[in-house]
Amino acid sequence: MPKKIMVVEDTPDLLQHVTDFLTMEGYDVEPCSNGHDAYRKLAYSKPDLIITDLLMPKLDGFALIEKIKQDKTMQHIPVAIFSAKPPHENEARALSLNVQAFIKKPCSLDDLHEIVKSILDK
Amino acid sequence: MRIHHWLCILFCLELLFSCNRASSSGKLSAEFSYAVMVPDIVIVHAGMALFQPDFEVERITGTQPISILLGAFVCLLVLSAVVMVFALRKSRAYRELNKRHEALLITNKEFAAANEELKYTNQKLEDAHVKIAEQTQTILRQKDEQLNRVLDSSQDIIWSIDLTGAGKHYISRSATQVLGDNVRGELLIDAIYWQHLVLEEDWPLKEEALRNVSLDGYAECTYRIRTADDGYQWLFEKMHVVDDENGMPLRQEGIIVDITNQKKAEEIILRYQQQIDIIFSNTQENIVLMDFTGKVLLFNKAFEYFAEAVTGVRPVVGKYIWDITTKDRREVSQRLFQEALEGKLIKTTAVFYMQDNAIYHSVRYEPIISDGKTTHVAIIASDITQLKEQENILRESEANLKAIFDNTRDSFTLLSPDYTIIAFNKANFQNVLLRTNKELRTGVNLLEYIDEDRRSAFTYLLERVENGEMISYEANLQNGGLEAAWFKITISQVRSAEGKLFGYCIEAHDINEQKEFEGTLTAIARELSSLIENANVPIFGIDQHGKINEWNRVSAELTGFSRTEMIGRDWITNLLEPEYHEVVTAIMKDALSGVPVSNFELPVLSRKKQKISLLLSVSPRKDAEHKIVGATIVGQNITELIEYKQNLERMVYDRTRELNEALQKEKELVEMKSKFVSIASHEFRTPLSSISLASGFIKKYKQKITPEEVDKRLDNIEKQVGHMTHLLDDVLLIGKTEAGKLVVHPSEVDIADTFERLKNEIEQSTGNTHTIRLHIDSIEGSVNTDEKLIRTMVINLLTNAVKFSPGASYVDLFVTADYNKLAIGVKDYGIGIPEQDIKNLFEPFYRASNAADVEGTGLGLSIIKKALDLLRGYVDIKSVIGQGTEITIVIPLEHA
Repeated sequence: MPKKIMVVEDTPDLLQHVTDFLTMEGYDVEPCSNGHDAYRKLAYSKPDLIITDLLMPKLDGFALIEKIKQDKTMQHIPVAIFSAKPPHENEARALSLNVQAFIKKPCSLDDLHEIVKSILDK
Repeated sequence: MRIHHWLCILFCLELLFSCNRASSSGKLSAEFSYAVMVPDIVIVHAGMALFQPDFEVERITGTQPISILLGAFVCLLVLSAVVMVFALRKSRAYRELNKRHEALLITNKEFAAANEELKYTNQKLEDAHVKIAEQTQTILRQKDEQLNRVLDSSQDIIWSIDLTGAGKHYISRSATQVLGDNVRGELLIDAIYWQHLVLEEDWPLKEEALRNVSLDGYAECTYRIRTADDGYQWLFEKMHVVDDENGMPLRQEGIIVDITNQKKAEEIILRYQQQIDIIFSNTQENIVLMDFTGKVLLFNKAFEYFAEAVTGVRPVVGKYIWDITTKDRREVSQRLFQEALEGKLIKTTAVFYMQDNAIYHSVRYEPIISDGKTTHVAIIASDITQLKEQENILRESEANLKAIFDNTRDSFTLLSPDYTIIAFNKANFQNVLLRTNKELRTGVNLLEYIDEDRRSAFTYLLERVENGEMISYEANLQNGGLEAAWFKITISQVRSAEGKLFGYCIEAHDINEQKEFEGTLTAIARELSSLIENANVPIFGIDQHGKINEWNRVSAELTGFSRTEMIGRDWITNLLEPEYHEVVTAIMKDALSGVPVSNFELPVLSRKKQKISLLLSVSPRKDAEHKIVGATIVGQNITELIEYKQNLERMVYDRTRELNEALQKEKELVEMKSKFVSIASHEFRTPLSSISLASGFIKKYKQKITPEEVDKRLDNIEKQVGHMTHLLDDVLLIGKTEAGKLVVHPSEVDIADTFERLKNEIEQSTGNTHTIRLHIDSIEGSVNTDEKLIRTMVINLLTNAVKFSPGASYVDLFVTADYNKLAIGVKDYGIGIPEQDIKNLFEPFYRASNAADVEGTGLGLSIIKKALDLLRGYVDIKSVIGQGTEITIVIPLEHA
């Protein structure tokens, strides 16, 4: 059974690219256009990994992560941040929220794959 | 015989004639008559016989018959004649007489011749006898009158009360004066003893006398009777009882003497005596009386105490006076007594020692001389110790004063009220004062020493002093003709302790040194004063109450207040603003209590109400006794300095502010740039990510995907590159404005042409999804502005309007231009902008919360804002969610 990955990204092209790639690699991908969309879907679908952008309309990445971490039914789900923001600006906050990885935009498919695999293999 | 009868008749007549007179006179006449001749019969007047019971008729008449004559004169004559005849015949004496007559007749015959001669002689003798009788009668009458006058004029009362019951009482007329007329009358009738007049308390005395007189036949008493004026009179009464030959009381007789005066004198003497006794025993003076041997006869209490206390000997009458005094005074006492005995009055001072204290007595030995002989000596001594002590003190004090008086350098001359010199001291310049070479002498009138021409002036001065003035003046006088010298001369009244004018005192004090010192001081003061006056800083002085008493030239120049204006005024209230009053008052209080205050800055108000900043120092001013009398305030005008300082401060402040602003701007710019860079990099990373992932996907799965798939990815890559280019342009544009590199290039812009082209351009670039409706409302065909900036702004506005109204078919473009401004409005009918986002719309890369799904860099409005800033224009946004947005920009038009 393929691993289920939720991708949260407000830029439609980028979301498409990531979804396409991960699907090609054999993952069950749940694309979400913003944090709000993601949180709504999490209510009935629990992924193995959540990859989320930070700057998004409606509900941004950090707010989403905080909601996830506060919910006992999903706080165990590993989260990877996928953002153009430099990590040092958010590192402290990310660490406090127990984020698994920080994927910096732009990144290559291999890099993305490598990180996803490492998280899911744990 | 005839002669005898005749003589008898004569005798009777004589007796008759004298019957009205006093009994003694009757007796005298009878005896006289008998001596001349022996009558044949004696006729005695009845009244006389009654009142002269001791008239020894028988003794005189012998055996001759006695006939008592009663009745009136004529009857008596007749009766006498009858009785005479009868008596002549019957009496034995008559017969004897007859015998002698017969014998005589016989003799007569014998001596007939002689008889004749005798007859003649007898006749002569008769004549002489008549004469004698007449003379005798006259004398007797005179004597009786005198006696009556004596009795009546006597003050004494003679009374006689008949005890036989015959009621023949007598009381002399003088009783009328003493007892009153009524009493005399009553006495004569009733023989009462005027009891009602006698003072009640004295009646027993009189009563006892009356008792005694009835027992012993004699008594006397002293008593008082009341007088008409309610006073009393003292009476002395002597009384006795006259008995008859049988011892039977005939009458009670008495004499009353008024002894009031005597009694009163006695009373006075008694009172004096008592007073003298009191004085004698109570006087402080010691009084001793001695006889001529020196034996003490009498001494008073004071002497007794004194003698006991000082000599230890108790004075006793009979002792010698020198045995009572102290041993060392014994000889002296004896000597002085002897001298007094010789009749000298001796005054001396005696000193006694009692427990080491000297007691001084002033002692007088007074001889008491009687009949030219000293019978007694009295010593009168009084204690003058206190007087002596005072005298000693006075003498000492006088000596001291004299020493001072003589040794003082000042000259004193004491004058009596008539300007006579009473005293003067040894100071040697009286002569200088008086301008005379004469030697001063006491007792000489001072005016004599004064030149005539100055005399009236000097007298005038003294008169002023007499009227209560004290004259004091300084005079420059020639001293001994050598050099002028200064004197201070004071003339004042001298009064006794009782306030009586005693005279005048002229005092002269050499004030040369003082004058010289004053001169030096004045010079110094003048110099100092000039120094202060001409100092180039404001200097002023105040007294203890803060009133200005010094005000130099610079003070006047600086404040505009002259010295005359400021002297006497309070400097705090007159020169300072109210807000400084309290603090300066405190500073001045310190200064006036001796604490100098330095360098305090104070704005002083000038006449023109200008503030002059002074840097002041206050130091206390002290007088010669180092008593603080005020303060000196030295200032420094620092108004310019202050202004300069303030300007400098202002400049520094301005610069600092400018710098701070620049710094802030720079900081903001840096921050903005950093933020911009950060945001820009993020904005670039997103399309880069797309490009990276798309290219990577093609590369990785080119074998697995369809050529359409590949094209789709490639298109996407192209699109991302375009977006990045657009983004880069905007970023560069903003960078330019930020760096100030964008400059306004105004040019004539044709409104219709420009906006028509823009309309078509945008319609095309947005894929003709919307029609742009152009509305131009302008009088001017063209405006002078920067076309490029207008284009940039309008493109951004129109693009946004199209982008955010996806369902609408048109947007409106309004262009309004007048002489002053160009207004461009773009209105869409799209999604609208949430209110909370409007304020942030002009931030670079800010995008409204509902704009996420719409492509955009977030720099459009930011660029518009920058462009408007350059053109000094403004923007206005009106927006309603779901209905659309209208953004209007207004650009002012500048004319050359």
